[in-house]
Amino acid sequence: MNALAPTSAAALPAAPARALPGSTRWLLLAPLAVWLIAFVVAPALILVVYSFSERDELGRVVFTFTLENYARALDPVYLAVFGRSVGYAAVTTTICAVLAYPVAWTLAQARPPWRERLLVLVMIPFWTSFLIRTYAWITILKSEGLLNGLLLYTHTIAAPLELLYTPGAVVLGLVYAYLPFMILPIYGSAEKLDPALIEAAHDLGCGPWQSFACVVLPLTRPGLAAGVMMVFVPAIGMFAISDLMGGARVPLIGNVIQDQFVGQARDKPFGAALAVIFMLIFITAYWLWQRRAEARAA
Amino acid sequence: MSATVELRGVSKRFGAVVAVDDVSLTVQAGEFLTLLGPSGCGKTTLLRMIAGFETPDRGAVLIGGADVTHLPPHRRDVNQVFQSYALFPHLSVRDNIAFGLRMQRAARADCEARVAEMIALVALNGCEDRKPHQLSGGQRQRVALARALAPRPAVLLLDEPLSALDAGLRQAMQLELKRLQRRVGTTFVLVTHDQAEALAMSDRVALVNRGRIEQVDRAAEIYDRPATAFAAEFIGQANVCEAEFIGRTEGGARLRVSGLGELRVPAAAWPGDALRAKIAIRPERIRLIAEQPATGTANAFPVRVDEEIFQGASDRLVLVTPGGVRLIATATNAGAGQGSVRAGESVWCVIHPADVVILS
Repeated sequence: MNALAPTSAAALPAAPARALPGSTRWLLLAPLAVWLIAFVVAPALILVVYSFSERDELGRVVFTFTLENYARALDPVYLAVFGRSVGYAAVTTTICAVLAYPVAWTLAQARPPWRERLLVLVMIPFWTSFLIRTYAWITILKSEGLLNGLLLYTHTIAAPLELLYTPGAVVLGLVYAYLPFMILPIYGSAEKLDPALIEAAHDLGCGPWQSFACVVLPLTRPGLAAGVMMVFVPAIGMFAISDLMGGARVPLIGNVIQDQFVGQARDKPFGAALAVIFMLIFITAYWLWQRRAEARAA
Repeated sequence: MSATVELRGVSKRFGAVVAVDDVSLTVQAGEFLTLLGPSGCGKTTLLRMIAGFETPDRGAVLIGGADVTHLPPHRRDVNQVFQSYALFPHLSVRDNIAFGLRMQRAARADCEARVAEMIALVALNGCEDRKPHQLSGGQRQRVALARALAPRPAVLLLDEPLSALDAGLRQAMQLELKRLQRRVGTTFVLVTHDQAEALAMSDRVALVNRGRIEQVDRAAEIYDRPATAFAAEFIGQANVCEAEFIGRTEGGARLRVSGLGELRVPAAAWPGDALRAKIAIRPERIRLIAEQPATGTANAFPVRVDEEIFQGASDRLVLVTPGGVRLIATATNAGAGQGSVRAGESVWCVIHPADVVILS
């Protein structure tokens, strides 16, 4: 830009944004507010009301006030399911993080035309329905499936392996489903990392692992934290994958809740109580995490 | 504590661009050497080869006599001050400075003592617990220096370390860097495009142009005896013209410069059998006098002052000879009462034969 040439007002850098008058601001926020109230707040309130209610023999909700559902939720059977869900989600999140770092790093290092192409590759799976992709995994993993077929054909194995309907299959399904949600936020953080910082770490005596641990990991922590949020939280409540790829053998908390609402159990109040407990745990965890982040920033 | 750096015929190309073309250079132990050149000349690539961030396509890099050509940066006894400082934003000043020491697995007590020593050296007492974003540009620069010096490297590399500072601070830091280098005795290799910086700080300057080293010498030596037209024009200013050999006289060589006239130079300065060569004349070596000098005065030419540009301590004058050659001269601003030269005036310029530099 020629410094002497007259510049139009629009081209002037960063004129301070003028605050919108109060009414206009509310008008702009209204659609979001309506959306949140209709589809988040109201359903959550309905769940809370349900959770203190009872059901009749036909599975209909009877509005009374009881703590029975919460008492039942603390039964060791359900605690075990909950524990298992946390375990599966934790394993999934860890594997996703380990797999996502090298991918995100490669993406961040790639030069512009390639970077966009590789990013598209990460997102291509979203172009196909999630359920169809999960069924594709079933086709690959089942006893007479593609993988067993290949292993039998090459005489690597003598009899088909039991791959589907195992805990391993569930973890595989979860990792497959959620990996992009870990890659993208880590990529976002890694992309902003000044390459000179990595060089400085090498220069000051860091080998590849040390520079990852001392510089890359701490500086991409916001991305990792976002990735953990986006993988752990949905993974813990996921029911479709454990249903389809785990059979009924590894029920997770999501399956139990689903069963109460639309499955055979037909106990909406109990399902609501489980869901509310679940929500409270997340809200508390998020609040604690946020407080720690603020304490660190101060 | 300090070591020599030797580049032996190193070359590096990036795609079709030859960044470094067969460069050989030796930096003495404890020396402050500056790689000076315009942007894109390959000076930064040379520095990165010493640091280990680039591997030369051909040639070898030696530090302290040992071949380190294929050694990664973290295994070299060399630290760098980065142009953007590259301070770790998540670490305090103390942890930034201690970073290299911790990587060396220094004992905790030694590490603390060394960090305290470094903080005192760069006068950052009281800032130990601050994060880089809470520091001023000058302070960040000092942290970068302290961090690079803390592990006691044999060689310290500095990539345009002062370019991000404003003019006043830059001058102060030039002096400080030079003082610091004398104190710690480490070999310093600095990269800059700023000739003033190079002249102020370095023991020797290596002039880099188009991937090659044009001249390596003390700054004053390059200034007085530039080897090439590039050297003459990049360090200081120079009037560079083409000269033709016409003969010898007692104690001198006679040259003809088209548009200017006949020019005498000391006989020894003219390369034996050459017929043509480029010559350079520094603007401040052109003496201006109002009256016609006595006949027989060597290298005296009538000129007209075309432009005068006030520069504070001196005036910059654009002179035009009757033959149409433009020469730049500087005249010291001597103060009130001293007759100064004005645009449009006709004067005489006199050039001492020894002030004509023959370029190769």
